[in-house]
Amino acid sequence: MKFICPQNELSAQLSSVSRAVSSRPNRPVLANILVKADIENQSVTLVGFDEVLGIESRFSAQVEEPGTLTLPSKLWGDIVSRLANEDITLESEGDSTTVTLTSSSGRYEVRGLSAEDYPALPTVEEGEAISLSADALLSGLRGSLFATSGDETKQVLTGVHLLSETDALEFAATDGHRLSVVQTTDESVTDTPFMDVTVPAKALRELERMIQGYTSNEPVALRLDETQVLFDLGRQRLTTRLLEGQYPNYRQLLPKQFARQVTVDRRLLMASLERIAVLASQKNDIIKITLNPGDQSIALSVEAQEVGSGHEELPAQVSGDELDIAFNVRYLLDGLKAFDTTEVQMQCNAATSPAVFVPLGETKITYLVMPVQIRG
Amino acid sequence: MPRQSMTAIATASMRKIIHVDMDAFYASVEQRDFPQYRGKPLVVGGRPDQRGAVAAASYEARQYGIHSAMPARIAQQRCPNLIFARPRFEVYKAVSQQIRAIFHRYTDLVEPLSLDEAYLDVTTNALEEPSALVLARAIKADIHSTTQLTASAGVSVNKFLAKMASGQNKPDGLTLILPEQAETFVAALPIERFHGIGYVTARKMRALGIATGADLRQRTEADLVQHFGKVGHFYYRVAQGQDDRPVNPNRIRKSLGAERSFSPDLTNLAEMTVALEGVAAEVISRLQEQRCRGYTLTLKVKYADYRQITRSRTFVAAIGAESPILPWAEEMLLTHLDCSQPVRLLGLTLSNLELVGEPICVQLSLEI
Repeated sequence: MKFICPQNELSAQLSSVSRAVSSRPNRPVLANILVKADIENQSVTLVGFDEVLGIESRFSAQVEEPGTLTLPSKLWGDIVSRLANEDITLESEGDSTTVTLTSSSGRYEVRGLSAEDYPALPTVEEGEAISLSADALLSGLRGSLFATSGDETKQVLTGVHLLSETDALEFAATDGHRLSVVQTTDESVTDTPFMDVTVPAKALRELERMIQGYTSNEPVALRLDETQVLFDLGRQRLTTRLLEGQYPNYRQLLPKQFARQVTVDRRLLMASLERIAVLASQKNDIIKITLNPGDQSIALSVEAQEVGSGHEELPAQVSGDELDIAFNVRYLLDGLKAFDTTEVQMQCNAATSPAVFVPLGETKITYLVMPVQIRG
Repeated sequence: MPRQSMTAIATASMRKIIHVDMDAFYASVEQRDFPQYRGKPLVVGGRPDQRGAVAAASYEARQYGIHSAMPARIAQQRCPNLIFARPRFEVYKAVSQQIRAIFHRYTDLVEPLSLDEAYLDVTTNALEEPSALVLARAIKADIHSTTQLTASAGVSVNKFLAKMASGQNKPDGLTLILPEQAETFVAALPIERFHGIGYVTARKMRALGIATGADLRQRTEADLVQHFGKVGHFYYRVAQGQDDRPVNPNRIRKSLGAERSFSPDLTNLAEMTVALEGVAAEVISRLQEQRCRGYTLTLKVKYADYRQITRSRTFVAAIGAESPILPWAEEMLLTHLDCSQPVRLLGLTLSNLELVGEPICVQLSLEI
């Protein structure tokens, strides 16, 4: 195998696929990245795979001799990232798994392992592909990923639920205390096949990062079967195992009617919450929102015993009666950061029933937050 | 060098610190309010049939070897006539407030350690009295006339020495440690009596040949840090009778815990569960003393091969006061224990603390 490519290209691709390499692999070869040099297409493909998440990345290179082998992910990545940005050469002799990496700085020999034992990425061939615009996918991920659970004992909640209906795709995530539902419509696509799956958040965070660097106008193709989903971005592909288990019937959790409604400037609210959060974080992150329909304002306050207290007021359109309702300020900020509109609306009924936050704009996000009940 | 530095401290920046400690506080309040309990062995705390622990023991009960944090079951075995009084924390809290009000007549620099214990910095004081001994005597008299309870006081130049002094002559004691006496006093102190050195550390020190303050002084700072970590700096300084921690009126505890090491190591789950019960009882007893509850429970397990794991869990509602910690601790042990290894230490820590009496905040959940 022998190929020549720019250092920055190789370094970027290595850093991307290494995210699918386990730091504690079950087998030695899984600590490595698979590298395939293709002479016909003059391209190099890298693969990282932890047996759940797989990332494959293809880039152009001057391939002089084809070949396939695996190299230790961390070692290889750390060396390449420290080299100057210039063309570098990777070369191995015959069947040898030792690669010589040559740059103007010098020569490195890195011992790899044969590609024979490297597992093939799962393939998803059956059924038709669903195509989604990168923008729609990105806004769906942004609006939902933050609400997933980090608790590994609640497996199905550690993922985002994807549900498709005709030309709409719905993203939902909940950790049991809050729920975010994003509806994306993609007019370029019609008759989307039915889809009802839960995808691990870990994989989707990688997908989000990949889409942020995706420059093509082509839609992203999504293929799935019973156990796997594959996102195809042309040069990059991400595959992951789906989460098993019934996703909660979240739609029934969304209240249909509200007795109180507040409309407020999102940035002002966020800035106030960030300040209030400084004190709240000293305690338990709990803050109180007071709705004042009388003077059309809301008050935000924090009482952190033995630390201090804070109080701010914001102009708002308030309908309904006065109310004191407490929240974990982190939950509120997570949601408000994921919105991109000037104004945000909060709707609620009582201090102990769910509050719903929606951005007033094109993106359809419904963010439900359970309040904190204060007793005694 | 230590002798010289001691004199330097005495003259340069001498503070006047009083440590006041109520004598067998909860038990004494019960004996005060219920004359039939006077002169009898009594403990305050959970009942023996309910897996409770002793929160406080009267001096009569202490003669039977009963002490706080002991499982109530064992206390009863040691003294079959033992009176079990249910804790009346509202009363203790009210008495504690009376005592704190007395302290504040003398100085604003009051650092309560619990309901029944506080440090006072009287270097400057409201009475402009130069003698801390005179002030300590007056405070004890005020406490007695207001509450009919006795307190012991220690007077010295720093918190450590004041604390050690108050423990010298209980009950109703008053002990002064002058800077020039500090060295001799600390040197003679058995290692178990050092404030800040618990059972586990004391055992470790004994194993290293440190039995008294004099032995501790022989050790270099680097040596102590190597064996005990960060707290080694503190041990080094207190062995010299030095302690520059200020009296801090706004101190809040960050966490509260207990641990126990076993010899021989525990090898079966049943033993570990029993041991964990004891550790949990001790945490609860300390929580009650501090009037705290907390949101995050951390389990620590040290295996025979010195490998150590800590696993934490944060609850939506505080535990430790109304809701117990033992079932959660057991659940965490069952989930995280590596059964292939004997266990040499078990510990529980509760953090994210708040005072009982604060409103209880409960993060509500979705019905999914």
